[in-house]
Amino acid sequence: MIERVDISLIEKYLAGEVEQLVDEKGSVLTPTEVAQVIEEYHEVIIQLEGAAFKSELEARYGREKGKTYPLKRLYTLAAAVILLVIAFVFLWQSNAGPQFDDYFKHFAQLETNRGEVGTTYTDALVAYSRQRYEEAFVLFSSLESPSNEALFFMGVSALATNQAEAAIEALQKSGLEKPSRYYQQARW
Amino acid sequence: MHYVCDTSDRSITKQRVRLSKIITDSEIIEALNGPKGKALNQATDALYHSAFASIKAYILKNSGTEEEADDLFQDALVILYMRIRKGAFESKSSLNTYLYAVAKNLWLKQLRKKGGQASSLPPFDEVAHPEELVLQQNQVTIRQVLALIDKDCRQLLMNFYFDRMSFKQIQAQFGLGSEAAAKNKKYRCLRKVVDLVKERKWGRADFTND
Repeated sequence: MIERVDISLIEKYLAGEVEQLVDEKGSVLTPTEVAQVIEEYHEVIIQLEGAAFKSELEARYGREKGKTYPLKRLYTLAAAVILLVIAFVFLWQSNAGPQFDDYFKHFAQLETNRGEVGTTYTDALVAYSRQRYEEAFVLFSSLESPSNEALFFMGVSALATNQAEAAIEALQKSGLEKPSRYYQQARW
Repeated sequence: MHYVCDTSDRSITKQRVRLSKIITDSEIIEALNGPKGKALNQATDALYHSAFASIKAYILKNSGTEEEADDLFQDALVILYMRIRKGAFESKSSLNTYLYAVAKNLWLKQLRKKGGQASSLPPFDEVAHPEELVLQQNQVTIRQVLALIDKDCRQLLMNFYFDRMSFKQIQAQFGLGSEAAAKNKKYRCLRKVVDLVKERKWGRADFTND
């Protein structure tokens, strides 16, 4: 019966704003029909409230796994997310490709150059020792006939300043002769 | 009947002290008839505290699972709630006894529907009238219908009828242009529900739909 009457009209009737109910064809409902419409309307509303109440109960007391309270579920979810993030970061780091920092290492130079103070080579070595690699690379590069040692330090300086090609070239040259003291490091 | 209900936790020096208060049946009925909030939560807490264990034990004893017990207890609470909201709840026994009888009958009905050993099942309890079963059947229908309508409509109806929001609040909540727009949207949503309900079998209080 209720489907034949405008909902707003029913509410107006209940609020006392209209005195009678009419159906979609404009026919006035009989008192029995009115009673039925009102009963059906109330049933729908009560059932809607009941459904909302059920949702509230489920949210407050849980349903699927006994008493799973919302806050506990939230903590579980937060813990799961943290674990996932940790696992992801761990896996990502272990699977990541080799990084520049994985390979670069400062090799202490143990050469002493007495009596050569002020030469380009000693300046380069000083710059290298103080880990001023850009300056060291420029100075090593300006040497006319660099020794294996100079080439090696030049290579390391290039590596430190992200000049991969120059580093490879210098290190390869420095390590060409097997007897070189820096052969193993250059190979590395 | 009196129930002990945990009302709050307060920290005093490093000790947590639980404060309790006694809730009577009539207070629970009043709370269930009132708006959503603390009183309603306390009432349901009290009923969970006092009635759930025995109902759960009954369900588990009669081939049910914990999940089914949880669900069924909530359904019984919903029936109690609807009866109170309808003004049709007659307190002939304690709320605990009423809930137990309703839950028992709901469970027997479910078992019969499953086609289990119907003949070996005990008879329906006299405390629960057929109207409770009709209410439950209609509740199943309304939940199906609510699952079919769009989320906004569902939320709006819940907000209006259960949360008792005003049209002004609905207007703000759903970003509508005016209170009149909120009112119209509510009518449209309710119309959808009514039409979908009518397409289904809607029980009446004077007969059961078994």
